[in-house]
Amino acid sequence: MSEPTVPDVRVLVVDDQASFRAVVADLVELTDGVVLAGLAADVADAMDQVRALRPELVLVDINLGMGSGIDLTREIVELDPTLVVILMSTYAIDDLPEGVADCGARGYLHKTALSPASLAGLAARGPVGGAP
Amino acid sequence: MTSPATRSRPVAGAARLRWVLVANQIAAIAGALLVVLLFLAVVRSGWLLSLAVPIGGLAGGLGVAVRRLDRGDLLASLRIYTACTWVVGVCVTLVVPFIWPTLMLTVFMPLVLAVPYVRRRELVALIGTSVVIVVAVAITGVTELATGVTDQVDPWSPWLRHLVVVASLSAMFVMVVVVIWQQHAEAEVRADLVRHSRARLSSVADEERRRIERDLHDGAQQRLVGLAVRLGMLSVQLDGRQAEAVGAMSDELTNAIQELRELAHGIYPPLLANEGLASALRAAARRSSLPTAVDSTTSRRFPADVETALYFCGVEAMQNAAKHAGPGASVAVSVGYRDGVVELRVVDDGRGLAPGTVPHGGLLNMQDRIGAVGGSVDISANPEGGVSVVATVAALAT
Repeated sequence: MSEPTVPDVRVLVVDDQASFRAVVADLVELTDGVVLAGLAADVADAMDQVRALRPELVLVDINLGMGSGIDLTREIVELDPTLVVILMSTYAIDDLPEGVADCGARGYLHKTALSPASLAGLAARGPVGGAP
Repeated sequence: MTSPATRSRPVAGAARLRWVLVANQIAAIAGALLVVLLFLAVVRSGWLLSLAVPIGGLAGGLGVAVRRLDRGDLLASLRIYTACTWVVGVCVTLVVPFIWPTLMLTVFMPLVLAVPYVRRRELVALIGTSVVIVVAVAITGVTELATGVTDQVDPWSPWLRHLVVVASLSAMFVMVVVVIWQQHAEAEVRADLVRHSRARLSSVADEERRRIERDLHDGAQQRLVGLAVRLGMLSVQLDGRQAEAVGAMSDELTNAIQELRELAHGIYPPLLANEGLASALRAAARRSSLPTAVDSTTSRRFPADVETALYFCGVEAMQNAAKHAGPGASVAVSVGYRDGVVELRVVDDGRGLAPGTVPHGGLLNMQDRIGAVGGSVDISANPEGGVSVVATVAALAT
């Protein structure tokens, strides 16, 4: 449980599938210590919201339909290297694109591993980051 | 002018058959002229001159055959050609009986020419009739049923006989060469059609596999993953046995998602479409039971059908190595692109190939895959042990 004096970590969720955005929004609402900053469906929308809302944690789907979550991560980290970006997908580790390792993301989370506990764990590491 | 309704339909191979018929027609005209020339210059025989009639008739008949062919009626054209050739064969035997062996060959020419165009039943009928005509020609020739010019020129000087035999045989050989040439062209065109059709089928099937993988990934898989996350959320809000029950459901769902993911992966590896051949092969190498290194000297992308063919060939070769190389072996995979040719090498340092143990099923799969995109596969035993599989495909990099 977070202390009342510690502000909640603001989370931006980027996924091209509306149903999954809704799932993650509900998860954020259920999890202590995090608060939903915004939801984005594509790269342009996500960058706009990163600039406008300055979230502390960004959950990015690797496959954004027409766009790439890896390219988006590079853009976000270039804009603000302190921002914690976590990539998500439903692929097995072996099938992840090679850019995952060096795009600046702080970690990778398989979507089935998303839970109040894992999200709280990501939030606890905080905006200053550290090894994923 | 032909109306659109009656316009000739294109017939496969018609152009090549037309060429043979025209060549035959020219030969017949030359033959008729030669006969007249022989009559005027060497043998003043009515029999000889009468030969100009069937040979000239052959030239005319071939003209009709060409016109029928131009109108799209290939079978009628072949029938006319066959009938004319047989009539001439018999007529010439009556006039010049001693060249009957050459004429036997002539009688078989329509049969040889017709092979690519007729159905089995028509071919059998053609063979039967050809044999009857050949027997007729042989009997006519051997028994000298009609003595023809033999009697009329006394004596048929030996050199003239030789000249006629050599000339008729030479003409026959020229015709054989023409027909062989035509048959070869026909076979090549047909092989080409089959190759293209195979490539199209394979490309359509791969595209379908890609689509199914995408649909599984973007559809069912995402929904199930969303459901699993929601179940996880639910379980933390419950306690005791209820939480346990939901937790068990969540585990079961996670297993189902994993199975679905493996299924989708087997249908089409997601990395192949997104990242290309080398990345997909690296992912496949990580799944292999043998230590496998993947090295690529090119980062370029190739047409999807080529990448797919090479990927599945590479996976097949890695699986073969895992099965046959033995424990302790390792595999080196490399992808290169030079002079417009993509080359995939899968080399292991295992037990190698015992004579006669080339894995036929696997090799056939690889050859089918690579052959469909116009490439080739070579599998060989390395001198220092192990097996090399080398697949090469000509392709434009993008």
